[in-house]
Amino acid sequence: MSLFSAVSLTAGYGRQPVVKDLSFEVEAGCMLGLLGANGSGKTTLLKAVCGILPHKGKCFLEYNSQESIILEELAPRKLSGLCSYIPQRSGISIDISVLDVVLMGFNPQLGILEYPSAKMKKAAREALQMAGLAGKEEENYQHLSEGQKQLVILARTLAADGMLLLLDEPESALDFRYRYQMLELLKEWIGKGRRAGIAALHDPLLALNYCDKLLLLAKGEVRAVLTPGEDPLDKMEKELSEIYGAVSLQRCRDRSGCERLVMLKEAEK
Amino acid sequence: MKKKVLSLLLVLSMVMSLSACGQKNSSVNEETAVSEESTAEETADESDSKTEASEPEETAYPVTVTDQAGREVTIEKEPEKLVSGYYISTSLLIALGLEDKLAGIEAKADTRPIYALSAPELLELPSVGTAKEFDLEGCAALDPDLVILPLKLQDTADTLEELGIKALVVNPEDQELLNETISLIGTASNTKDRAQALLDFTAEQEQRLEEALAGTDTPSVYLAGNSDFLSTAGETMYQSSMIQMAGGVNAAADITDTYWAEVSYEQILAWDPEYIVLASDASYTVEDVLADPNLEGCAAVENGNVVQIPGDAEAWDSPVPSGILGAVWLSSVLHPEQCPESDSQAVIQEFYETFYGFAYYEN
Amino acid sequence: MKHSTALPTMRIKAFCAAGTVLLIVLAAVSLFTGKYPLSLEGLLSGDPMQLRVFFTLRISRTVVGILGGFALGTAGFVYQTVFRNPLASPDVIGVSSGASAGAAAGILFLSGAAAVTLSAFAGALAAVCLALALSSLDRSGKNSTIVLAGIAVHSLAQTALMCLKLTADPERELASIEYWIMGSLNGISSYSISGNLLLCLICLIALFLLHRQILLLSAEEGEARMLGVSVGRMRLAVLLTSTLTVACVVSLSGLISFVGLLAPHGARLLTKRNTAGTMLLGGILGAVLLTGADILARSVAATELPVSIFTSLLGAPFLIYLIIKGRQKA
Repeated sequence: MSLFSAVSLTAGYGRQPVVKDLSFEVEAGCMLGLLGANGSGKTTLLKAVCGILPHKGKCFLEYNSQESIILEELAPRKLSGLCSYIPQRSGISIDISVLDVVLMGFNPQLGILEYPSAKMKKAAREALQMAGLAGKEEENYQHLSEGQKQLVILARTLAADGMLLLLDEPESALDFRYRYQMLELLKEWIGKGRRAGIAALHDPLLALNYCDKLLLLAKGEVRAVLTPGEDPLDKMEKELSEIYGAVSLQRCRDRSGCERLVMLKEAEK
Repeated sequence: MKKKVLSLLLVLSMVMSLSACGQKNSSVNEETAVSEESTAEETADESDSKTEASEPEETAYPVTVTDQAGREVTIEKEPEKLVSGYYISTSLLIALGLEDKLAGIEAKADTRPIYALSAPELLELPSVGTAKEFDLEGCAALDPDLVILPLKLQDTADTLEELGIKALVVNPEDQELLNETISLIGTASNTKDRAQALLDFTAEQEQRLEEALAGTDTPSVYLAGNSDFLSTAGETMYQSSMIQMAGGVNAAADITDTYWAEVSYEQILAWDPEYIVLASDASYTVEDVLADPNLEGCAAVENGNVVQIPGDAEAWDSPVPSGILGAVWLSSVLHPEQCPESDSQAVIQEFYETFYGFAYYEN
Repeated sequence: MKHSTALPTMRIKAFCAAGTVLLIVLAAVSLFTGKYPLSLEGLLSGDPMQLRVFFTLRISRTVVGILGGFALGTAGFVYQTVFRNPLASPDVIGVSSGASAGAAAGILFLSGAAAVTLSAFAGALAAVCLALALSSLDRSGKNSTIVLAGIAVHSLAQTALMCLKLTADPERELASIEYWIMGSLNGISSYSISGNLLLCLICLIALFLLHRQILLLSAEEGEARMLGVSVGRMRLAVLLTSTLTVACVVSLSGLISFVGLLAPHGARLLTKRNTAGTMLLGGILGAVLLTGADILARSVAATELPVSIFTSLLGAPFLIYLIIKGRQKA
């Protein structure tokens, strides 16, 4: 059985469902990419999985080989200990130090009246270092650029050490270099231990190169499931063209010999 | 800028004319009111009439009076139907023997025991509202010949005038103004001799107290207000002169506020008054004050000299026609030797029997 | 923009220490300011009257000034953080107007200062419970719902207050209501305050223990939830606790304007951070402001003046100074 599975999820705002009867699975150590046009239900799906949006259907998390947990039945504290969510943009709007933001990630592990231990502070500093923000611990979070803020939130998520990572366009505010740095970090982190990630990505190129599987959404339903590393190019081209208009795919190698996918926009016919 | 100066001048001139009116009023008062249009009767004798005016005096209608807002009002004939929008004027009308002519009075009449004691029929009369919410139409519907209103309702008086209803504005804020009110209404309603008798009674008592208390020492008195024990009357207030007449000194004499002023427990302890007198409508009791741990050590509390002004008939600490009785009563509290309680009781009994027609003390 | 790592924490500590020193000075001045002449010699020589005034009146008034200001400042910090709105204050969810209506009802229908305090407290609590109950009708549990419900309750309480004022006797009851609304620490003595202060202190301790949760609530609802906060329940608990602290103070003193708004802002502008230390500094500034204002309120004139006049008079220039200073630096 796979680490995470969603069974017939239906969710939306008001009466109109945005996501209709979706089912999918994610294996341990895998990152699932969500692709789709604006309004296809990527954010709604993520919010439903992490329980922010009320929804129908169930999400199962295989805690260990014996025990499987239904996420909907968990209290927020328990749930947040297992799943971490990175929003498009963090809602923190007060003056607060970078370190304090990262320490927020330990809240699920702490009692309501407990304070972060020295060990947690050390872990938080390490996470910041991993995200390339060493030395900025005491800086005001509000004074950082949007990209740096997003990295802080990433560090918070990594430090929190959950099983399932849910990411909503985490790279949209990052510049070219940081995008790849972030995805490398995520992939490395997911590769360790029983973990998995579901990411709605802004940039299809990143999705093609860093996700093990891609879920193509259209109007709240699954259009196709792609495995970028294995599927033939023409099949992927056809499916991706449904979302992005005419595109072509190429495989090429970087200097170290690593195979990469490149997507080009073609003229519409 | 010009406009500002102009309006300032306007205000100034208004103030001056107002104060001029005030002066005129008090001078009118000395001569027992009023410039009468027809043959003015001899009124000059009246002013020094410590000896009760014996010859009955009639108001000759039409009569023009200046009320206490400075408005000139001409009353064509003796009013037969009266409306009073103020408890002091209502009480005054009873004292002048005019309760049968009243057609409407202010709201909350049931909170004034004097009505029930002296003229219970007033409680059945329609209400014309309060100073805050005057019922203009209800008042007009009663079709009164004369309406008497407090100064707060001056605008209402003007409106009534436009409706063709005569209205007098009164402002009995202190003893002098009250005397003026008494003369004014006495003239307007053709009850001058009874009004004079009322004025004489007060003057007599003032004189009696002054003579009886000459040369005695004056204990300090803290007067606690209606709304709160910590509110008190400064020197310029009516209540302060009551203390003075009764042979006491107002502990709060250095407060110059013209309205109830807020003080602290510390202040009272610093004054350390010999007597504490509670306003008659106080929302707390003598027991409350005696039991108040914050006042421990205060001379008045230690000696049990905490009293409340009786309010069985009227609040004597307000400028009502019976206001002088407050000083009479308090004099017996402060100086029982010079002013024995039995004397004071006799005065109080006499006042209510004469002017309100009931016995204050049941024997 | 280079900070050495320890700097902001040091700053907060330094400001808290300076604030505490100022507060101690003000407390000493407050203990020896008043209408009854007190002297150190008199107190030491055991003059019974001086001792009585000192222990029953001065100390309690000073304590209420300090703790009340501290509570208002802290509660203001909590409201502003939880509502993510710099203009939030206890008025937002109707606690002040509820307390006023309660006090007015107490003045009209009950007798005795203790009864008025109790009914003001009940009014404040009723207003907050009503606001939170109304907001719970909307399942989405948004902050804006609570604010809207608060505005509705606030206007309801104002209407009730107006009706009560209308029925009040202008000579005494209306005057009492007006004076109560103006707010004053006059008439406070050790006999009337212990219950309120104890509850206030307990609530304050609870708020400081919960400070981590309060800061977490400043994130967006979904984010806070994914950080393991039961947003609805925690927000309810925090708001109820901070409202209780305010109700404890306001029911003793009447309305005190500006402290709850200004003190936390001052603390934030000074420290440029939001931590437990900032919350503490907000409380200290509130205490300084209220104690200072009360010293003036009882000594400027021959009579007692409403303390709100001076909290605004002292507070407004301070806030303006901080804003201008912040502008120049930026």
